[in-house]
Amino acid sequence: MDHEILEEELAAYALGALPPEEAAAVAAHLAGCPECRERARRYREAAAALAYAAPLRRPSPRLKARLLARARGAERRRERGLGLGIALIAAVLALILFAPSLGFRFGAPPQVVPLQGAEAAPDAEGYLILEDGQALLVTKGLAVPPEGRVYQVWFADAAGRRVSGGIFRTQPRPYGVYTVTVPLPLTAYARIGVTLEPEGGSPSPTGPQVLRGVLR
Amino acid sequence: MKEAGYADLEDAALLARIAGGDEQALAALYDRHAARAFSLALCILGDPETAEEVVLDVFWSIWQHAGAFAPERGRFTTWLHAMVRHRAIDALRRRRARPPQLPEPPEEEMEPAALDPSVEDLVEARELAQAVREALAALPPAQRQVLELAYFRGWTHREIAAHLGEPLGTIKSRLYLALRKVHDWLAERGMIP
Ligand SMILES: [Zn+2]
Repeated sequence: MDHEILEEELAAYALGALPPEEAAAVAAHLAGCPECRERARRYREAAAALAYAAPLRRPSPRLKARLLARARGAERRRERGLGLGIALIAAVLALILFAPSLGFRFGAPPQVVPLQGAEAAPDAEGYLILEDGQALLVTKGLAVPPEGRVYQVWFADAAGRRVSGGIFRTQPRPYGVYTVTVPLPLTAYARIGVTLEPEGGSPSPTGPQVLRGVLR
Repeated sequence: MKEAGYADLEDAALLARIAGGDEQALAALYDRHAARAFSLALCILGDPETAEEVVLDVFWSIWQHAGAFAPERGRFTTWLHAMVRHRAIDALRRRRARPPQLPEPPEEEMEPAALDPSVEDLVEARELAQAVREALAALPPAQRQVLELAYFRGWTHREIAAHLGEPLGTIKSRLYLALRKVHDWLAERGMIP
């Protein structure tokens, strides 16, 4: 195999120091080249260790109290009003980077598609995070579906043809994160939607829409 | 300060409990890792208040998504520090977006801080911290500088080249040499897999 990726690029990639388009090129090569993937992994380990170069300091004890108070639900109401923040996106991206089922990824620029609540769930929000044909759906404020019903993800093309991106059930938590099956080529699809469907999902949408968004 | 019993559990076991809604497990995980996470955020941001918000956000995400962490993929700390770094650099960029100017050069030196064993109670973490500081100290200053700009400022090689007024090719090879040497230093000492 011809390794058009230079050692220098792998090092910069592992440090997250490549501009997005160059990182994408490296990621594309890594996807098909176990040899370079292994080299990149070694650089990534070294880059990760740099966290330990920071002089050790202790946060204020109040911080732990705030975290635990939030976890106990004391701050839950305020939390709900904050919207899906960069923090959550960053957290989800970190999950993509390290989730084994989603493959090895480090530093590749993901595409983030915002989703709005539709008629059946006007207060819901979401993000679809796409990366190299893999995707995570982040939802906020989506109610637990009634017994015997699930949510189903749809990709629609300009002609209105739809393919399923899979089904999911939300938990009684403000946020949810789900993996989505991305149809290929994704560029054939213009919109994404989420509907409420009978258990097991439907061949085409039958229920009310809860989320929708536009793919670029 | 430690919750009895929980302090002996491994990170993966704590995360499994956190995924089940166990607040004590969250407290134990926080006690073990918050100081290092905070130190990283503080080193990037230079501002304790924002650094604490970053740490709070990250541990809050862990509380909500603990089930998504897959222990077979790697060490929890690698994952944690990547999240903290992402989030802190995001905050840094937002702050910098206001006055449109080139970022400050990095702090003079990352002084070899006196280790406080009561803060970092994990022996491996203390040894790794020591080895990383030695590895950085062994680098030529110009190599160490580009590595710090990339890691602690989140700059791309182009931004580093523009800031230092050096050719891009020079910065690329400096970054590579620096990371390579850190890798070899740590690998020789068995500090990284
Ligand atoms: Zn290759």
